[in-house]
Amino acid sequence: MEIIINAIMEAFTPLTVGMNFLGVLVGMLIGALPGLGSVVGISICLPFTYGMHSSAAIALLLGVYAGSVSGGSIASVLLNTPGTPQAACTALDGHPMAKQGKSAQALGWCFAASILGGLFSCVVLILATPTLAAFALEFGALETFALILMGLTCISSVSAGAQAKGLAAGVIGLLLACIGPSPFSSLQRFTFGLFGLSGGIDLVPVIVGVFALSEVIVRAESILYEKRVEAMKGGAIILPGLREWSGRVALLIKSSAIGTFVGIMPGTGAATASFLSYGEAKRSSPRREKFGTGEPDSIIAAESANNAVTGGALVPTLALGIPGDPVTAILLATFAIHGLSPGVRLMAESPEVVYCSFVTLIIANVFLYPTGKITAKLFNYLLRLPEPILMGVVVVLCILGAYGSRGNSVDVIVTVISGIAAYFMRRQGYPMPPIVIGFVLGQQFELSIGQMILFKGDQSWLFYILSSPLACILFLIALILIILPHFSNYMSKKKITSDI
Amino acid sequence: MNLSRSNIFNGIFVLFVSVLLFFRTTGKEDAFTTEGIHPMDYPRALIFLLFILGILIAFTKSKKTEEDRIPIVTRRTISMCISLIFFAILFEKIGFALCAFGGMMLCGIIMGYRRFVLLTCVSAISCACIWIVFTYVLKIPLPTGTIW
Repeated sequence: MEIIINAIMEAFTPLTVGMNFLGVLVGMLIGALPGLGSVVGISICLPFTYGMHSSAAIALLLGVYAGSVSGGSIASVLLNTPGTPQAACTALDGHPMAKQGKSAQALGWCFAASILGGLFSCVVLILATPTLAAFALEFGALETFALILMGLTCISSVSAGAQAKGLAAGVIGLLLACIGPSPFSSLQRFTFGLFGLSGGIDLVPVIVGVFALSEVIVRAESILYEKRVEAMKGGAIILPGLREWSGRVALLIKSSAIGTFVGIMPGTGAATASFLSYGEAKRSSPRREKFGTGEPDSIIAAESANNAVTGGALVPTLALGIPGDPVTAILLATFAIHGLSPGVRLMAESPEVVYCSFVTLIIANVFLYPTGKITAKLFNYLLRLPEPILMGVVVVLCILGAYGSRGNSVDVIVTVISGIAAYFMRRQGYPMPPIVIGFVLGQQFELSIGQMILFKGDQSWLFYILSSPLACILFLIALILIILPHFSNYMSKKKITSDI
Repeated sequence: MNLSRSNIFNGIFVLFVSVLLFFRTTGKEDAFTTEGIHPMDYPRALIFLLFILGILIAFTKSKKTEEDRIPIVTRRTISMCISLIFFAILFEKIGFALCAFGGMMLCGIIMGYRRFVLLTCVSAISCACIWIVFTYVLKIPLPTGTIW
């Protein structure tokens, strides 16, 4: 108890709180710009932490992490150009809501869900870090394969109404992830002899191209037919009232749990969490028919899940010293710079550092609202620009965002080609999220298949799968997730015909 | 069966792409295999799945959406696509400043904006601000052009 009180006092010192707020604001601004994201934000701020006290340094970087994950939703809602990969799902209903003149409400749902999702994962983090860390260690190749398969099944949910095209888009995403070296033999695949593709394709150019650039091409013509999103009058964010949460609390808790769980698994990330959660919400929400027309349930599912990842990702990082993604790897480096070694020893020798990090993340989640208001107001000024000029700025920022991730001109070409291809696919009725789901999960999927085959050895497949009860449960859930939407559709059609 | 012409074309296109991609997986039979699995087996399985889906797409009825009233291929969309391709090709060759300024001007003109003085001023100021933010704040060096 004394440790927790000391940790709280450390987290609430003026310097730590100030650095936390600054970090959230910087992260929010960087996250809102298409193509940049958490890694860029944290990399920029890392050098400034060398001379700081460890708690202030950690507060700054955790603030940037939390802020950048949420910041992407501002560009998603207002411009239909996701600032970060994990904000791609938010655009599916956030932007339609903004086009109806409800930008402030859409952003309100985004930030409310983000804050609550982040706080949920922080509470889980505080209560269960050692247990969850031990659980993460149980995940081998078979369990990882089953988990990713579960993630891929949400392609079926997000493709409702265009199943064949959605599945084709998902397969195209999986094939895009095959470009570059094979994970087991380093054979170059689908590079067409181009040196620039020998390292594979990065995620950011694909996301920016598929969502942001294709939107610019769509707007080039649709500007003649459709109204754009108006600049918001008065307050930039209107939080939803308590009554509006009626019937949505269970969805919030489920999505936050998905995000926390996905964050705990090394190798996954906020983008995976938001798509998984969106797919699950589309399958189970009582208002699923309204998805795509400005339904808050979709925004709640995506935003609470992607923010809940921030807390979950700290579990393997702090408790095991295993970074799950580049962002947590940089956080790990920060700990090392300040003489701390994350892992089992950290929990035993410096528990106040660990708990201080948890409290700092809670404060960072609370700061999302004021910093979100500031960032949204700045974006509001952008919306006053004539749309042709604004689209030009968006194109330049998108291209720079794609270029900035690796400094590679091939990424720029990939972005433009993805954008043009995505435009024609969109207009032919192909849903875009499955491409990204397939791409995000594709490399891990192939790697886990290969690892499974290696670990299986001479055992039979049945014996190998049954040897892991956790994998069996995950396979069963994946099967249910595939069958259930079709079964529900069949039952509702049967009900309609019997009513007639 | 009431088939849609656009879906038939879509399906045939997907089949064509699958066949093209399949031919890219051939000719590498001497590659190192892992536990009997060739590195091209996984992509081939995906390509086979894409082939099946191409057939399904060709036989799917399409639903009308609101976006259908907006033509897919127009002078504006083609101009925008060509501009983006030139932007990508010239980005490292002529540098960020010229490319971004030209790109913003072209984007505005394609989308029908005709107040050229304002467009020029805003494009120039925006490029300058973006350059300052990326170079001095984010410390991401931008290309200055290889032909100069």
